[in-house]
Amino acid sequence: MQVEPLISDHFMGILGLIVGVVGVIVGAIGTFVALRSDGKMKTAQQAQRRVEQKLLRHMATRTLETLTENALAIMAKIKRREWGDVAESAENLGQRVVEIRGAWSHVLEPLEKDKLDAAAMNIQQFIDSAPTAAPEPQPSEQDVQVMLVRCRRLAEISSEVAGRLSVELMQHTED
Amino acid sequence: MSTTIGALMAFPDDPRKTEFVRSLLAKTKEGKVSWNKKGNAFTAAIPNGIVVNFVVGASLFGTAPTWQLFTVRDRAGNELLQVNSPDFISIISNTATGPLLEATNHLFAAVSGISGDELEQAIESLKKL
Repeated sequence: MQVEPLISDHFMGILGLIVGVVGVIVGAIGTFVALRSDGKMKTAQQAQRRVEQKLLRHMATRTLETLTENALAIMAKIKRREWGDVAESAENLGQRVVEIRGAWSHVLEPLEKDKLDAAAMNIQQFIDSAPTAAPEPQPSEQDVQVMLVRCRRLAEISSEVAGRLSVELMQHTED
Repeated sequence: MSTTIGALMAFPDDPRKTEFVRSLLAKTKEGKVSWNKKGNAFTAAIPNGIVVNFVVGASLFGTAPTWQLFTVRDRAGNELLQVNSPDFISIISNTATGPLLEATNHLFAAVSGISGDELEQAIESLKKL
């Protein structure tokens, strides 16, 4: 059997094969590195989203806790019959409830939204019924009790939601 | 319930809203809709992920508690129907009137009646001790 000598075409073919194999290997390594970086990028983005979610929940919790404190402060003023302060504070409170209902809607459960809406209605009625200054006829004891109940409902729901959010925040921190 | 849920938000006095509430009342009376008490609210889940809620007002001076707000939401939490009690001035939406309000009042009476039985059952349980 006669072996044909290698001509330049053969060399070119072998060289092309080697280059092709090297190209495939480089391509595979490149793909692997890209996928790994993509995975790392996604993990980083997920971590960033988690941090943002935690921060939002923390802010919502703080806002709702403040709302509870404000509602309780107004209840204390009602008990002390400080009607001038009560009227002004109640106006601010009503505005805050509507703001919170809009701003933190995405962290509220549907039933919590309803309860906050109902609490907002209660506060609105309370604002309409509260005397604005001392010289006005003083509300009866029964009227005072109604005012207290209306404020208490808001304190209850804001406290309830703040509690749920803070527990969820702790659970996510443990995760 | 033949009402198309998506069409319930069409316009404020849509008669289908009343039809929905009346159908829910009928199913509640038949015992096909299970209502649960959650704090100062009654809530029920019906097929297709629809959730209905009653927020109950405080009971003052021994009076029977009344409802403040009735809502219907779809699976995604979008509000399909909201009815406010006329006793509560709403800054959020229109207060219901007419047949829709009447139907909602009847529904609440049925729902709170079912819940009232639980206390009665608790009293009966104590008597049997």
